[in-house]
Amino acid sequence: MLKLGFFRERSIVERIRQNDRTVLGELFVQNEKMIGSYIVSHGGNDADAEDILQEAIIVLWQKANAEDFQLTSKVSTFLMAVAKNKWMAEMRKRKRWSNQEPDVNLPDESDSSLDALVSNERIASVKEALDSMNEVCKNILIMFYFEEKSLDVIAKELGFSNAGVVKSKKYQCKKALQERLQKMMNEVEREL
Amino acid sequence: MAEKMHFPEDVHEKYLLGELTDKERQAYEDHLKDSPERRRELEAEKLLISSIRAAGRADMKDEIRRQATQFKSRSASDMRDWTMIMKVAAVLCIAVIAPYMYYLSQDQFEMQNASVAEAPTPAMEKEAEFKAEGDLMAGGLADAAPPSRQQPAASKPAIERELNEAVAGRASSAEKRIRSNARTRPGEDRAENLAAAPPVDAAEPRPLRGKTDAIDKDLAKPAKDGLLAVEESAEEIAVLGEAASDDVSDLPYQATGLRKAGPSADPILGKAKKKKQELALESQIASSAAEDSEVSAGSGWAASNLDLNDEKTRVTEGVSYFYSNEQPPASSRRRDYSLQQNQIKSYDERSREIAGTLRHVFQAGAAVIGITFEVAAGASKSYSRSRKLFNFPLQILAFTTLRDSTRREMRLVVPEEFMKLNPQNMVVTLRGANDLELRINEEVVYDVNVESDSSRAILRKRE
Repeated sequence: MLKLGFFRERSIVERIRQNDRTVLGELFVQNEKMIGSYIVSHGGNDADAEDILQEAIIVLWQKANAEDFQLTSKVSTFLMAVAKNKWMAEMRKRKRWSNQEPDVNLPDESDSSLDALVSNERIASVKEALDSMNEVCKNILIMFYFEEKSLDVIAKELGFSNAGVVKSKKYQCKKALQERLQKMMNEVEREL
Repeated sequence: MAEKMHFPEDVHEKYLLGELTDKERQAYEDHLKDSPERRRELEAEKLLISSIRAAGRADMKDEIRRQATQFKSRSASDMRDWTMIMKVAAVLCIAVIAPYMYYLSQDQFEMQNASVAEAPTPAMEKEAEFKAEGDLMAGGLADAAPPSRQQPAASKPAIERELNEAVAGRASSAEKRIRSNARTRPGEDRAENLAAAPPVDAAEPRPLRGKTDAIDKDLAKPAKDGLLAVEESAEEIAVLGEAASDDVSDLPYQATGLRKAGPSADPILGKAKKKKQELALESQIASSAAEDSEVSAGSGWAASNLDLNDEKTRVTEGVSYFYSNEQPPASSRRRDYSLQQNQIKSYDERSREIAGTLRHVFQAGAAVIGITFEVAAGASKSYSRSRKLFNFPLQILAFTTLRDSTRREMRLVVPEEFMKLNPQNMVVTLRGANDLELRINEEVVYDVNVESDSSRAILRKRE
């Protein structure tokens, strides 16, 4: 039983490295109850629990793609540790916000709120621009910048001949994304 | 401008991703301090990369949420499917398979019951054997007993008791009783029995396969079989006579040995002398009884296989017949013997054929056919096949049925010379029209030459 569990843990890391994205849902379902109960018992709600678990899974995904990563514990233990840290950081942030005195007479124009709004808007724009791009460009950009995969790995997974081709393709895609974002910003300005 | 050209175009990205060396990073940071335009470019690059990361993160979260939902719904649907399948299986099992299995088991149960009901139990077999043997012995005892003791109902338990004793190895007491009856039997009784018995010609053939009811009926009508009983009585008496003769002939040798043993053997010698006198007397009585018998034995062959003392051979039952090696009178008829479970149907005195079941015919050589008889319940082969092989009147005097744990065997018993060998396991090998090989107990081999007129057979022991 112990061996079976060990092989199952290994297979999850291997599946992540082989870009098997179906493991994401499995990890969520397998750890939902454990992490959810922790978050709820520590002042969170179901939505917080879901978000924190997703963040933890993303961290595992990013870490597992690193070449020097070695899982020394069970996947669930790793996810639980990440979720605890994430939730503590989130709690600190919320505590910091709640300690500030709200001024009812003035609109909330603090930097953090504004930044968050701008950031959210910008993220939504980038996501929209990415979705409008072709699948290869979107995958290259997300795999390189978000998943932090090397060019060799991306070339292997996406079927390119070598890393150089991926590098030039990434450059083209990034330029195209910048142009799209600029175009979108111009449209927004025109509307305003 | 020259400094700007010094750095590659993707230096912002490399700086943000931490791919620059310390020296390159220091130079780049120094350059940023002097160039507000480069700082804006760096800021734009930073926003772009963080936006891509955030978009990727949001994208992955959506994917996780979608997969989790699908996974849960699939698990639920799988469970629903299995539940449905299990329900259908349960309905099938209850409605179709279970009744069918019940029906099959009932059918098989009935078949087993039928086979068990048809098969005789060992107790039944033993009882039947005792009854069959009792039938024959009862005839003899009925003859031997005075008229007042010839009630079948009174004699049957006594016979069974005797048989039980005999099976338990206490045959001597049974023999003594028979001898006693033979001595005390008045000649008037025998004459009276013979007069009361119907003629053989008038006797109706009885069922071939013996059943206990038939045996009981036979026991209830000993007079009907009077002639047969007298014959068998004479046969038994002859057997006893022979046994007594043998014992008498053995005694001198024993006595010689005892004399050599010295004075210490005197008491034993005295007892032996006394026994010799008794046995000699019994032998005279038995011989006279045999001579007095109405149904003479002709040549005096005694074919007895009722070897009750021989426990080694496990003879648990046996039937003795006493026949002449001369041609029987033309008036003799076919007589049927009903032997429970033995499958031995009849014996024809005229043709001297025993209708049994031939179980095994084997090729022992180029022109040699071996024959063994086995009698088993449910035997299917008939005697007609073996009759072709025995197309000469071999003097089959009697047969025994031996029983082991698995089967019954019928073994041929032939002339009186063989009886001294106590043939318990004889294989008859037909080598030619008139040549036989008799192998007894797998040791003694006789070459048998049957004379052309079939009147007698010449036996030579093979050295």
